[in-house]
Amino acid sequence: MNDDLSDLPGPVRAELTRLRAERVVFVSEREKLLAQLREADESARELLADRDRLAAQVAELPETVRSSEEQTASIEALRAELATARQERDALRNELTGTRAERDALRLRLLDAEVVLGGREPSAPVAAASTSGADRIAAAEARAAHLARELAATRATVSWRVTAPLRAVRRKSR
Amino acid sequence: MTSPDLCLVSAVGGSVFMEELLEVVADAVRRAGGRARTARGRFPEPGSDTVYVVVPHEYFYVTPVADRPAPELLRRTIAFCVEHPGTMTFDRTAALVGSLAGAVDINVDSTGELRRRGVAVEHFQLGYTPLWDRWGGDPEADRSVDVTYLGTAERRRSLLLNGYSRDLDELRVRLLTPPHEPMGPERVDFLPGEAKFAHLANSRFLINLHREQSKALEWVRVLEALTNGCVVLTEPSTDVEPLLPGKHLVVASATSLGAVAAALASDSGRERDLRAAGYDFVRNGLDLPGSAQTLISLATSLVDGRAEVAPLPPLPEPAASPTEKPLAVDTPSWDPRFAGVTSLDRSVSEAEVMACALAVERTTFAQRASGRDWQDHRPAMPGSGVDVLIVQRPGEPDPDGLVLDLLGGTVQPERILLCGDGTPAPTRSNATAVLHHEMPLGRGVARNSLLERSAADHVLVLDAGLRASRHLVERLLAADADVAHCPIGDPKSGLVAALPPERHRLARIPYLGCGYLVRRPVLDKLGGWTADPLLEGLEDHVFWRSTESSVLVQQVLLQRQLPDPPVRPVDLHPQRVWASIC
Amino acid sequence: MTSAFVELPARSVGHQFELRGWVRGLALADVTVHIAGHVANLREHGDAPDGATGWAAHTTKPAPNGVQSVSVIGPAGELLAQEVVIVGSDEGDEPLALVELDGPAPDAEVTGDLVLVTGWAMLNSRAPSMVEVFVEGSGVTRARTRLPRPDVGAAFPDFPDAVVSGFEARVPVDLPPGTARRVSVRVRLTTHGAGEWTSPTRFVTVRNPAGDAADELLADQLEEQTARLLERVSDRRDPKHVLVLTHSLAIGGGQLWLQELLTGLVKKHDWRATVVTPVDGPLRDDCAALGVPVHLTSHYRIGDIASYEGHVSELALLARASGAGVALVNTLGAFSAADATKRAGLPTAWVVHESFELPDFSYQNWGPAGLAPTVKQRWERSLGAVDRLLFVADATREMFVGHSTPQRCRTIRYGTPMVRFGGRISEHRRREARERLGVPQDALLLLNVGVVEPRKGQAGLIAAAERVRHVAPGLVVAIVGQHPTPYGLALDDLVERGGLEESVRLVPIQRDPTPWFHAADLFVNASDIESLPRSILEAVCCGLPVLASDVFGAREMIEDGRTGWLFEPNNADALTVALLRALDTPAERRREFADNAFAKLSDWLDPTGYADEYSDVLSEIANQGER
Repeated sequence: MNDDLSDLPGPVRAELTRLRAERVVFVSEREKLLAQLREADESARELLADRDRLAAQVAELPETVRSSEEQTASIEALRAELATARQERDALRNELTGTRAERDALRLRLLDAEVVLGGREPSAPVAAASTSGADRIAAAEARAAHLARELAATRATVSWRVTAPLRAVRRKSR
Repeated sequence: MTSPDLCLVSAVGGSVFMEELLEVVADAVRRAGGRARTARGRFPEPGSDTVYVVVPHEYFYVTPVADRPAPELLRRTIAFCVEHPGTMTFDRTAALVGSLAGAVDINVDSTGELRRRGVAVEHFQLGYTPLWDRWGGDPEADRSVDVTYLGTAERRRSLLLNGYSRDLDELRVRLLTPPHEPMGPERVDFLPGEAKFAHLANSRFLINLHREQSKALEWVRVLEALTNGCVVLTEPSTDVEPLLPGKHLVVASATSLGAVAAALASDSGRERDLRAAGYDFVRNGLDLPGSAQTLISLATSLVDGRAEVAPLPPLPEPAASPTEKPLAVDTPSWDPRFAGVTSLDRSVSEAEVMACALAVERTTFAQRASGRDWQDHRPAMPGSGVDVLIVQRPGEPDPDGLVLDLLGGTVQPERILLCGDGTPAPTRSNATAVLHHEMPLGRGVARNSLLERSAADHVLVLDAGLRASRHLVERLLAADADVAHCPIGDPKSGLVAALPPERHRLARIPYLGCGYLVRRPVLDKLGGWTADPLLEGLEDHVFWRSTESSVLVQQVLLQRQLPDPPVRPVDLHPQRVWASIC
Repeated sequence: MTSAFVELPARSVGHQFELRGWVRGLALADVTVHIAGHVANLREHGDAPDGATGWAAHTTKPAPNGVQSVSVIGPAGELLAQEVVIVGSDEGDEPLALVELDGPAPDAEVTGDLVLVTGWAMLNSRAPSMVEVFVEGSGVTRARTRLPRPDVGAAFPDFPDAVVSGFEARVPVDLPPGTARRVSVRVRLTTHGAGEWTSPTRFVTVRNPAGDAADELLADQLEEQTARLLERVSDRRDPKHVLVLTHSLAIGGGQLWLQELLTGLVKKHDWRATVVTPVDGPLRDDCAALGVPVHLTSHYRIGDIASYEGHVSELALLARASGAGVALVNTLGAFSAADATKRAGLPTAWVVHESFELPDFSYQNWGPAGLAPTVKQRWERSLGAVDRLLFVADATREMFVGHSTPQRCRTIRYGTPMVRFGGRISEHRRREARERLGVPQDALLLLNVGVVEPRKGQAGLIAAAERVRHVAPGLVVAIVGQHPTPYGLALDDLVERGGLEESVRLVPIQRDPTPWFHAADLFVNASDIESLPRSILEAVCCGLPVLASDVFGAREMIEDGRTGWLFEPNNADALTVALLRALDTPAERRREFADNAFAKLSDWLDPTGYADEYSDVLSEIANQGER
């Protein structure tokens, strides 16, 4: 377009300039509006995408709920299994303690028997605090005599007890 | 010359074993070609060649004075001695034997002792008699009892038997422990004659323990067993010869006999050898016919009745046979402090009477006011038809171990219902459900409440102080009875509740307690257990008094801790409590 | 003519008894009667034949089980009569029991949530093999036995076990704060061969004091106050900087473990560390060598909520200011530290070595009801709040997992530098070690390593050795860790009275017991509480088959019958049988056991291994905090 506006009358020139300025403003406004339209378009698209996404999630929700319910159920089941396993374990430990006690008793009896075979007494009795060697010898001899007596006593227990008063009387009249 | 007419006389009211023994002797004499007959009570009229045989320590002490034989008859009587030196009965025999014309003795040691005292006595070797043999020698014959024991209940032996319970747990066991009193017909714990031999022929092993007084081998019992192929396991004994330990029978320390039985039960080769050797020995190694001949010869020499005898020593008059049979005095009571009629002797003070009444009131009030609350722990496990009721009272140990024992058993109970009667409620428990009573309300109340949650056909009733064998439920169920119970091991008495329920015995002593399996309809008919606070500690005694039929499973399947309950009405005012039961 | 006669009882007698007899030709005043080595109380007694004077003699001191001599001595010291009596229980009778239950007293009131049962006992003159305590609501507890009791030893001078006749059990009672309950207490003694004895029931009231409501209020207020203070401190965290809070720098098992860990973290994994501890000790130098600064704080204050909150506040501020990105708290008792680091926002890993229930731990460290209820609540809360609860044994983990969640709890086992021996010691080395230590070359050496204390049960070990010596004459037991505490002195006494100097060697605490590991044939650990004893690991590394009490982590290390032998704790009979089983095992088979044990454990015996794992764990939680 010919920018030479000198051959136009003054008022027309002014009008043209004014219109041109207006046009620039309108164009920039149009640009702005177009941009806004584009933006709105964008956000609308985004919102649609969001909506679709959320819709998909909502659609999945029952699945999630179900799977979390399943998980809870399986946790419960595992807990119950664990409780049963613990109970079984406790029962087995209890049995083990009993079996060990039985085994120990048998093994200790075997030890006692081995010790007796070796010529000693199973549960080592405690010797009195004897002072002199002579005392000890005397005690040993007396013990031998006592054991012999005990042997006789096991054959005559009742009569020994029953006749004790008689023996006392006999001694008195000696 | 024909052999004389031997008349073997046993006393009326004497031991049935003596009668059986004289029957055996008579039979042996007949097989040896002589003549013999048995009689009871008064001496039968003598024939021209009659010679009598009696067991003096019993005959002269049991026979009524009027029936005692005249001195002329005694000149033709042979003493048949069976007792060991060192016993009172041996001393009786020795005192009497001089008044009889002749004597024979079945034991080597007593024969020696009598001879030492200047008595002319022949040894009479007992041996094999077909009268006792129910087996016949077949090594393949089946036996349904693994280990058996026959002997009166007595503290020392009960303690030993209790000690074997773990070792014998896996085996089929029958322990026959009758009370120490005159026995009559056959019972679950007493088998005379035929029944005894059949039982021995049906058992693989017999455990033999001595009575308090003597250490000599019980020859008659051992012969009965060996004749029937029952292998004998005995504690150390005198007078074992001519039997050989290790070959014909097994000798082991008293505390180890259980372990020995369990070990031999799995060593069938050794068992077979022992069985065969024992049988062979009694058949061929013991000269009963020879002894019978000796007896005949001795009798022949006395037929003329001219033997010189001393007069009878003074003898006590035998007590008139009581109308009521005497009860054994040493049956252990179930309760640690109260023993029934014998505990009523003590005098009760005013304060105790009042305290008893107060205690009853307190419990009555508690029964109305106490909080009760159930807590479920585990689901029921249907299948076995048995629910277990356990009540824990103050002073009793926690039943955790018992619950684990039951859960580890061969038969699992459906429900284990636990009541903490005044004891703390556990936060975690292996029981099916736990009922917690804030205050102690009584065992009866507790059990009745537990019963409401039970739905099974059978109910197993236990207390917290017990521990159970793996086989408890299985074996009580197998008894298939309205009520089944078993002996219970006790650290002080050895065994408690080892007798079947008997009316006259229960009227004197509360010897039965818990530890029984009962059919639900029976409980329903009874209306559960008594809730009377006065009868605290005796609820099971009341139960047993109303039982009609029951079975005693004769194996120790329960152990109890020595109970020490806090003071109860029966400790304060026993007369009142006992009176209200009877 | 003078003569004397002693009438002997038909059955065995108890510890105190009376004998009868008579003398002829002498006055009673001229005669003394000695029973079991002591002069007896003599008095006149009517029952005697004509011309003789009857006497009755009563024991003045209790006589122990066995054959005791009785002598009647004349005025000039001449022996007039000599007999013996048997002190004991006849077959079928209860054993002779000498028992006293010192605590709790009947109808006593016990404060707190733990009942302490103590006393002393002898069955047939010996310490019982097992003592069980039944407390209503708390099941059965095995008491620790053979505790030193010099007072009982003095009262029963002729009983060799009297000096170790004490027993003790700590029984926790499940009681919410503010409640009280009446419980029954019974004790049962058992010894193989003697029988059992149960005490009469005793009732006590247990009262667990309630928390003060005012305390709760104060606690909340102080907590808020701490939070406000913390806001002032800037939170700059270095995820590779760990704040370590431990209970002590003195030498001991737990601390050495930590030192090895620190070394591994700092040197191998480039961690920066700061150590905070209430007790100073030689390990400070080790820290300095690593370039790790040490801050000494006061003892953990737990007596009342205000002191507790105050200390926690200070530690929290320190934690935040240190710039550390993660915290590592050592031992169960350091809960103030764990609380502090969590409040400071630091991800925290808490290592629990001890396998004690909380009431038991509390009782042992701070006495009955020593912990204010609000403070106790903080303890339990902290256990749940920390990001990781770490244990050295699975059994400990199971004990504490209830306070937290399973995914936060982990077992990280530690190793030992002795892994370098590879599970075998050469014959040459063994011989050398034996020569140096003075152990006969042909002896069978059973080794126990650990500071002697009742928890470790060395007295029971001596009793077991005594019991088997007739069937194992070549056995020598070496106990390394002797020191002069009452227990140690009681052990010396036991060895002396039993004449066991040849077969039992009590060796003082050694800084380095390695030569003993080289010299030994078998290793035994008889503790009644142990999580994962390092001495067992060391034994395995040196090729020693192990006998261990079956507690907590023991079965994670030893498989009964394949890699070693396990036995029930607090039971002298069980220990004896384990010893017999080990002695029954021929040498070849024993070597197999040792090889199997090493093979099974070699995966985690390398001591650096656990430093790696800890580094991973710490990094993991340090970075979790960032998100």
